[in-house]
Amino acid sequence: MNKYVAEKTIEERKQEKKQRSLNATREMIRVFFGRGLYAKICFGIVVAFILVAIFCPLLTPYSPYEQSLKDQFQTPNAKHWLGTDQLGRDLLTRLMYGARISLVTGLVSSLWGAFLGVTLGLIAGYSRGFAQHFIMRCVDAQLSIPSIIFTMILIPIFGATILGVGFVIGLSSIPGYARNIYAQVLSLREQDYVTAAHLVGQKKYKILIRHLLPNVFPIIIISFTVSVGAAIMAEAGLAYLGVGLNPPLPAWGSMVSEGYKYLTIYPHLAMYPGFCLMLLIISLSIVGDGLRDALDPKLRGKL
Amino acid sequence: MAVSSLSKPILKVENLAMYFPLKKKLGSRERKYVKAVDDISFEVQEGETFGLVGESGCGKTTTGKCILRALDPTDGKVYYKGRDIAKIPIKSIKPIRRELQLIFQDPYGSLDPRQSVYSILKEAIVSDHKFHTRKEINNRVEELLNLVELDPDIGYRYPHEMSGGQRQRLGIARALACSPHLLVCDEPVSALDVSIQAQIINLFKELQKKLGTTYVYIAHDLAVVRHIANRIGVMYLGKLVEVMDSEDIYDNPRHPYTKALISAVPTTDYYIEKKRERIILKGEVPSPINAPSGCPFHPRCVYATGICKKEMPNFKDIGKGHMVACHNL
Repeated sequence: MNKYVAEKTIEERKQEKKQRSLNATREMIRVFFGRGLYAKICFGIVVAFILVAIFCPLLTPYSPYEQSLKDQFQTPNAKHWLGTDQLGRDLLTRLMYGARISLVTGLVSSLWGAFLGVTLGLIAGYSRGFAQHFIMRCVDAQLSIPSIIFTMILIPIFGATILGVGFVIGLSSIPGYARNIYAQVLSLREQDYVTAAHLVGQKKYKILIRHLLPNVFPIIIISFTVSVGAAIMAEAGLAYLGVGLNPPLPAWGSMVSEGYKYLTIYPHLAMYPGFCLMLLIISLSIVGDGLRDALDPKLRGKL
Repeated sequence: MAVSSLSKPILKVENLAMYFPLKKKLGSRERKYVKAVDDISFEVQEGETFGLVGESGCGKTTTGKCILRALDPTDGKVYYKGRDIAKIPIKSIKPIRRELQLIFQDPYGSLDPRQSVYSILKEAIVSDHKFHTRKEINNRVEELLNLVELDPDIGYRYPHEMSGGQRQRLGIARALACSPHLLVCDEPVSALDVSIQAQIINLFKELQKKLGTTYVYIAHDLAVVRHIANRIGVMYLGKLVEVMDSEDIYDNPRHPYTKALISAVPTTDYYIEKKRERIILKGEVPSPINAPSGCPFHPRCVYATGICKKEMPNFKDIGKGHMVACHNL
C-alpha cells in the first residue's frame, strides 16, 4: 500500500517537513489571534508595555528622579504630557520606568515561583509515600500564612531591591502552582498512556518529563499569566504599604501611595499608575488564555 | 486443538489472587477487601491465544494486569517462561519488562494527546536503553506502521486527528515495538465500530502468524473470543469457572454459567432462534466485597444443591484439558 512513499526523495521529505512546521506555526498564530478583537488589543497592549519598558530612556527627555520644585503639580500640558507630581517629576517618564520595574518583578517572581512550584507539584504528585505527604504538608503550612505577611517578613531579609522583592513574591506563589499541578498529576498518573510508557520500559523521571509535564502545560501557562498579574499587584501593594521598593524608585505601587494623599486636588497622580496596573494585568491574563489555546495541539485546526 | 502436555507453557498462573483493600468503616474491626481476582489458575502455551471471558467486573482486566505485573498480586504465582514474576522485586523484572505488553481497551486514553505518532513509536523503540541511530529508528517506525497497516505519512499526526481504528492500530504498533513474547489484549475491540472490530481482530490473527506472539485475549464478546482464541477461560466473580478449547464453548459447555452465557448470544437464524432455549439468570451479580460462600455462582444457579452453598468446587479435568469448577458434574 505504501508504494508512493518509497518514491519520495530525501529532498522532498525535507521540504515537506519544513512546510509542515511552517503550517503548524501559522496555525498556532491563527488560533492565538482567533479569539477575536480583545485578544489582539490585549496582545498589542502587552507588547506596547514591554517595548516602552525596554526603550524608556530613548522615549523621554526627562529622568524619573530629577526633581524640580517650581514645576510641581502641573496638569497635563505640552511640556509634560501627563503633568508632574508633588516633586515636579514628569509623570509620564515615571510611568514608563515603572513599567520596567513592574514587568521585571512580575516576570522574575513568576518564573522563579513557577519553576519551584511546578517541580514540587510534579514530584509530589508522581511519587507515593513520604515525599508526597512531606511536600504537600509543607505547602499547606505555607498556605496558612497570609502571603502579604509572608512577603512583609521576608523582604527585609532578602533586601528591598527589585530582585529581592521578585524572589520573595515568587516564594509566596509556590503553593498555588504546587497544589494545581499536584492535583492534575494525581489524575494524569492513572492514565493509560502512563501505564503504557511504564510497560515499554520508560524510566520514571522520563515519564515525568515527557508525559506528565507536557500534559500539565496548559495549567502552567494559565497559572503563570495569572501570577504575573498577581505578582505585579503584590509588588504594587507592598510598595504602597512602604515595605517594598523604596520611594525614589518609580514603582507604580509607591506612585499610587504617594499620589493618594493629593487624590481630591490632583487625582491624576494616583489615577495614571493605577490605570496602568489595571490595563497590564487584564491584558496579561487574556494573552495567557490565547497562549494556552495556541499551544494545545487538540485545538489546532479548530476554532 | 488439544494441548500437548509435552510443550512447556510460556505462562502459568497458579492460585492468583488480587484483593483491593477498602477503607475501614468507623468502629468495624476487620478490614474489608474487594476480591477482584480470587484463586485462579491456568496455563497458556507458547504461540496460542488464551481467551478470557466474563461479564464486566468479574476481574478479567485485573488478571491481565497482574500477569504483566502492572499490579502487584496479593497472592499466588505467575510463571513466565518458568520463572515466578508475581513476587520478585520490581527491579529484577526489568530484563523481561518489554517482553510483556498490553493492548488497552480505550485506544484514545492509552495515547499521550501531546505526542505525535512518530514520537510515540520512537519512545517505545528507544526505551530499551540501547543505542539507536536515527536511521534505525526511522526504519523501525516505518516497519511497525507497515506491520499494523498504517500509512507511514501518519507519523506527524496527533491521536485526536486519527480514527478509532487507527488509534488502536497505533496502540498495537507501540506494543510490537518492544518485540513482545506475550501480549495481553484487554478488550481491544470493544470500543470500536463493528466493521473495524473485524479488521483489528484479523490483524491480531495475522500478526500472530507472522510473529508468533502469544496472546491473552480478554473480552466479553463470545463470538470474538471463539474466533481468535485456542482456549477459553470463563470467569465469574473473580473465579475461573471453566477452561476449555474454543470449539467446546458452543458445542459442549458444562458449567451452568457458561451455558447461560452461550444462550444469551443471539443467532440470526429464525428457526434456530425459535427452538432455542434461553436460560435467564435470576438476580444480580453479587458484590465481590461480600462474595457468597461456597460456589460463587450458587445464588443464581438452577442446579444448586446444599453442598454448593458450603464448599467451593474443585477445578477438575473432565477430559481433553476441559476444566470445570462445579459440584454437579
